[in-house]
Order: sequence, then structure tokens, then C-alpha cells
Amino acid sequence: MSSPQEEQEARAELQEVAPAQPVEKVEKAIIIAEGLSKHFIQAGEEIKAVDRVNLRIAPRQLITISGASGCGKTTLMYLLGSLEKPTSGKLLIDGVDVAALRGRAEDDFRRQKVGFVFQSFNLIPNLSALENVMLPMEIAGTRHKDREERARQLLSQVGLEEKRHFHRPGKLSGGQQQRVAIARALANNPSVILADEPTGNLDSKTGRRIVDLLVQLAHQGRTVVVVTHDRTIARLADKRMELEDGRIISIKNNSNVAQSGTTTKTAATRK
Amino acid sequence: MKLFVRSIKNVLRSPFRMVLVMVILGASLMFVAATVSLNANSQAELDAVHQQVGTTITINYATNAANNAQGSGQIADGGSGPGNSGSGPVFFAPTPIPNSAVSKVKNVPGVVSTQENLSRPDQDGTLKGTTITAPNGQQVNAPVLVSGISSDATNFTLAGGQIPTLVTGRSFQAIDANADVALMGQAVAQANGLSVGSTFTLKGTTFTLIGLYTTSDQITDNSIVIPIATMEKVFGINGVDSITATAASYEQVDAVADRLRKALGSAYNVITQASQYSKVFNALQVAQTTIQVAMVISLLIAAVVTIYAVVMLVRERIAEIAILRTLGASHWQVLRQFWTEIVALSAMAAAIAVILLVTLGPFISQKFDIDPSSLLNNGPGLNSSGGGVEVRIAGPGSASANALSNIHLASATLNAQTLLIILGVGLGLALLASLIPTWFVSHTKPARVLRQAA
Repeated sequence: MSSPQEEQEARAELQEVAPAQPVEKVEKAIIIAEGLSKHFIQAGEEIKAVDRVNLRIAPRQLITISGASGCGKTTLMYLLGSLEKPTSGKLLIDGVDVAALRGRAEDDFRRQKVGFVFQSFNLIPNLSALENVMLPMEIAGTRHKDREERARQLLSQVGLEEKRHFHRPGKLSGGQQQRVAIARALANNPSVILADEPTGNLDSKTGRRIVDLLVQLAHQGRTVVVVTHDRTIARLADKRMELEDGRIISIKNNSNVAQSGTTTKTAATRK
Repeated sequence: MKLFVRSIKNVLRSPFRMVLVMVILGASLMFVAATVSLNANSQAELDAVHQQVGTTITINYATNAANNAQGSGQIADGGSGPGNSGSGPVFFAPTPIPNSAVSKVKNVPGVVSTQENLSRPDQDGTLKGTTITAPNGQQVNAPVLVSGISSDATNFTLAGGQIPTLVTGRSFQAIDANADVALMGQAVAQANGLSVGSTFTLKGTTFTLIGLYTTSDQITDNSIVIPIATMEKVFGINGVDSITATAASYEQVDAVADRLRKALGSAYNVITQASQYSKVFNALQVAQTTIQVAMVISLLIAAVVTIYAVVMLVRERIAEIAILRTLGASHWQVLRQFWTEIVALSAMAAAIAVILLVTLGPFISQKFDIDPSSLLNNGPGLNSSGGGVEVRIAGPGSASANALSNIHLASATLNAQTLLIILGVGLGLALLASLIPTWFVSHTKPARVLRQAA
């Protein structure tokens, strides 16, 4: 977590870059994007997958990003997770200038600051559930004993029965695999969890359990960003963002869970 | 260790295919090790052959060589020929090389040692010879062969290059140069009821037996050895049958032979043993070339299989690599993971190679092996021709034929060298073949792969 001083500096830096584009009510933000763009060249044509996105996300919130297929949701999530480099703009996550990261610093960021959950789980098929959860800690250099202990704890926390800890992903149901994936995302205790359609491959009942788990994570103090079409998640989110053609067209605070329940148009949308 | 165990699990993810790859790779590695070993061995054996037969030069009278070609220089049982009156064993004595020529040979630059050869059968029959079995199974009562050697010779060979082993008594000393002393084949001594210290008569001279020896050949077992000066005196011969000169090295042989020809003139045949053994050398060379071709082919197969295995490992694991990178693994960690897997693959293939080498090595050795002595037809021994049996007491190549019988071109067995080759080539190839694919794959953009997988 960044210090108040770092937050202040980050805000000052952003204001210098884009002073004319204030975003919604400024509060202590863990994710700050300013003019964030990602363009691809496809068949000689420039595709604006993410186009001048401004957003601020406070910690300990569950945020959903939704929109039609191809609107840039996944690209935005990859930008947030430093899996893609922005073409332009600023991105600060937990005080780290993600756009400026290179090499080892980029690896460190992914290892320490964010955890990923994917629609297709993306577990390593020949490792057991326990080993899959231990993997990020192994990459981080955690001692074997410590990582095994924590992996067991996390698997219990996400509700995977102990007898299944040694099962390989192929022997687990979709819901169980997604639980393992969530446990793996939590392994290095990141501040931000990025989930891409986490319920996309699950039936509604199982999906609901996974959603509950993500909500619970947010309540426990993590920032959870979920790219989804699932209205259940959207209903339970603190904040809902809608993307269209790479731009955020609306950010809604959910009245069920947030105090304000207001809808805030972004600078980009106002234009 | 954890990483290594996990790597083995990864490698064996598609067991049937990977086992097939490992068996092919293991077989290739085994062939590489076997052929490298065979190649090194064949070179060593070629050098050994050069060393043993390649440095000697045989000097004969030209007329003797011509007579040899016609069948003289042999004892014939039941045959007939020029100079042979009546039936029974006959011997065509070669014209002796005078001692003056021996001195000339010794003084030629480059000659490091000489051995004079003088052999005659005891045709008087004063000593009882042993019974020799001819190749056709016929039992022959051959006369005892008497050979003269220099009394100062510490090591000497008998006809056919046979090296006698002293079983009792002593060998010659310098003081025996003109003495009437003899060494005798143990079989002859037994046939005549003699032992060390006994005396016997040969050509009217009484000899004291000072030692008994055995050889691995029935012809030379049926022989006695006396000092060459004594032999000349007793047999009334002024000279020797042939001289074997030794050059310092194989490379100097031709130059020394030329000097000998100049020194001795055209009356003598100066024959390098390398020329006599050209058939052997050619066969060894052909075998070595075949081994080298097999080695290159095995190496190429091993390289292709390794590259295939590496590419397969890497291609199938792109998604996994993307996940590892997403989880924060560095390029180096991904590289290390793959290299460990590739090392695990190679180690398992090497284990298969070791097993194959242990089981198939002798068979491969046999296929590539050449027995150089089998390529020589002019060594000592017995020939059956027509109704008679010929006993060859010496041929041009006889001096070294026995030495060659111990030389075998091929040996492909599991030892420290072949084990190192298997491990070295296996791991070296694997790491080399994996450098580029793993480097590229470690720099995979995770987002691109995850998008494709989604």
C-alpha cells in the first residue's frame, strides 16, 4: 500500500499531465488512470482498444467493467495488470507508475501488486490444486514450508475441501477450479485482484458462489476489478463501469452497496 | 530438486509420445557414444598397429624371396621339390645374409634396433619333435625348429612373432654369446625327457639346457633357441636368414627403408611391414571411415530429435508460459524452468542410452570389429595342400602377426568415457537446441497468448 505522501505526489503528477480532465470525486485511490489508451495496428488500420480512459478506483471496492464484446474490457484489464503497455496515458496502481515499468520491475509488480483470475481458470494442468496455489509464492521465492502452509490456508479460505488439495485441475469441477484460481491470485497477498469473466464458464449457482467470494475479498480489504457480463456481479459491485469502443461511457455507484448511488459521467464521456 | 521433479512430471505429461521421443533420443545418444568410442578406439588401434608392425623393416635376400614364392623356405611332408630326394620332410635353406650386411644394417641412421632371424629344422632327428595338428586334422610329426637369437636380446620373438614365456630356468645373457646353451619349448623337453640342466646333442654339439618356455602356437612350442653365433657355428652358416630392423617411428620408416636399400643394394629385398600390412591398414581405415559416418548420422539424428522435443515442449506450453509470466515469473525463471525440463528429458534419454549401450554395445562392437591378424595369410602355421601338409616357419609378415591378433578395432561398452559422451552430448545438444526456442518463448507477451486462449 502506498503512503499518503505518495498518493499526494501521484495526484499532483496526474494533475500536471491532465489538469483539464478531473475525474469523479477525488478520494484515496488505489488505481488511477489518466488518458489511458491502447491502440493496435490491425491490417494497416489503427484499432483504439482503449481510448483515453480516466478512472479512479478507491481501495476495498468491487468494481465491474462491462460492455459489448470487443469494447476493450479485457485490454483495459490487461493494462491494469501490466500485461500490456499503454500507447499513451498514465496509470498508477498502488502508487506504482505501471506504464513506466520495464523488465524485472514489471515482473515484480505482477507478482506483488496484482492477482489474476481468468474465465478459463488458467491453472497448470499437471500441478495439483495446492501446487498451483504455491506457484506464485515459489516465483516470489517464498520458502517451501511457508508457501505450502499459506496455500493450504488460502484453499480452505476459498472453500476447497482439504481432500481436493492434491487433485489436479482436471479432476476438479469448474467452480472448484475457479476457487483454486482465486486462491492462487491471493497467494502473494496483492492489493488488487483482476478478474476476467470469472463466472463465464460456470453455471449460475456456482457462479454465484464465486461472486460471493469476490465480494468477500473486497470486504476483506482488496480492490477487485471484474470484467463481466454477469449482472449478478454488477448488482453486487460497489461501482459499475461501462465501456464502449474503448471508452468509459458511464461509472455508476451501486446504491445497494455504496452510499451515494450516483452516476458519474467521465470527462471523456462529457466530451 | 522440486523444480527437477516437477520438470520430469511436465516432460511426462504426454507419456506415450515423450517416451517415444526419449527412446529415439536415447538410441541416438547411445549410437553417438558407441561410435565416438569406436572412432577413438579405432584411431588408437590404428596407432597401435602402426606402432607394432609399422616401424619394422624386413631384409631378405631377393633370391630367397623369389624362392619363397615358389614354395621354398618350407618344410614339406610327403611332397617333393627341387633338391628333395626321396620322401619325407624337406627343407629348402635360404641363402644366408652375410654378417657384413648385418653390420651395415645396424649402422644405417634411423635404425634403432635389429633382430637377426636364423631358423633351421633339426633334420637329423636327434631330438624328438612334437606332434602337430594340421588344419585338415592330419597329425604331423614335425622336426624340431632351431632358432638363433642374439644373446644380448632381452626380448625376442620366435617364428610368427610368437613371444615365448619362460616357465623355468633362465634366459640368455651376454656371456652366452658363443656358449653351447639352449632354451627349449617345454613340449619338446617333455618329449625328450629333458629338464633344466640336462644336456642334449644337436649336430654333434652337446648343449646344456638353461631354460624352458611355452608359446601359444604349436609350431613354436616345437622349437629350441640357441645363441645366433653358436647356431652359425653348429649349422655351418655364415650369416642369417633375415634381419628385422626397427625405425624410431612409423613416420621415419620409409626414409630408413630407402637408406637401407641404398646401403645394401639390389641384391636385398627391403620391405617395410607397413607395405605388407597395407591390406590391414586399408581395412582399418575403411572401418574407421564407416564408424565416422555412423557417428555423424547418429549425431544428426540426436540433434533433430532434440530440436523436435524442445520445440514440442515449448509449443505446447505457450499458454503455461503466459500464465507463469502473468504470475510474475521473470524471463530467467521461465528459461530456468524449461532448461530444467530439457535437462530432465536429456537425463532420462541418457539413462535409456546407457541401458541400450549395455545391452547392444557388444553387438555393435562385433558389427564394426575387424581382426587384423585374420587379414594376413602369410603368418606362421600349417597349410594343407593336396595330399601334403606344409609347415611354414616364417613368412614376410610373421614377425608381427601375433601382435595383431590381440588388436580389435571396436569396443563399444559402458565405461567412464562413453558415459561422459552420453551425458555431454545429450545435455550439450539439448541446451544448444533449446537456446533459441526457449529465449523466444521466455519473451512471450502473456496478453497475446491469453487472448488467443480465451
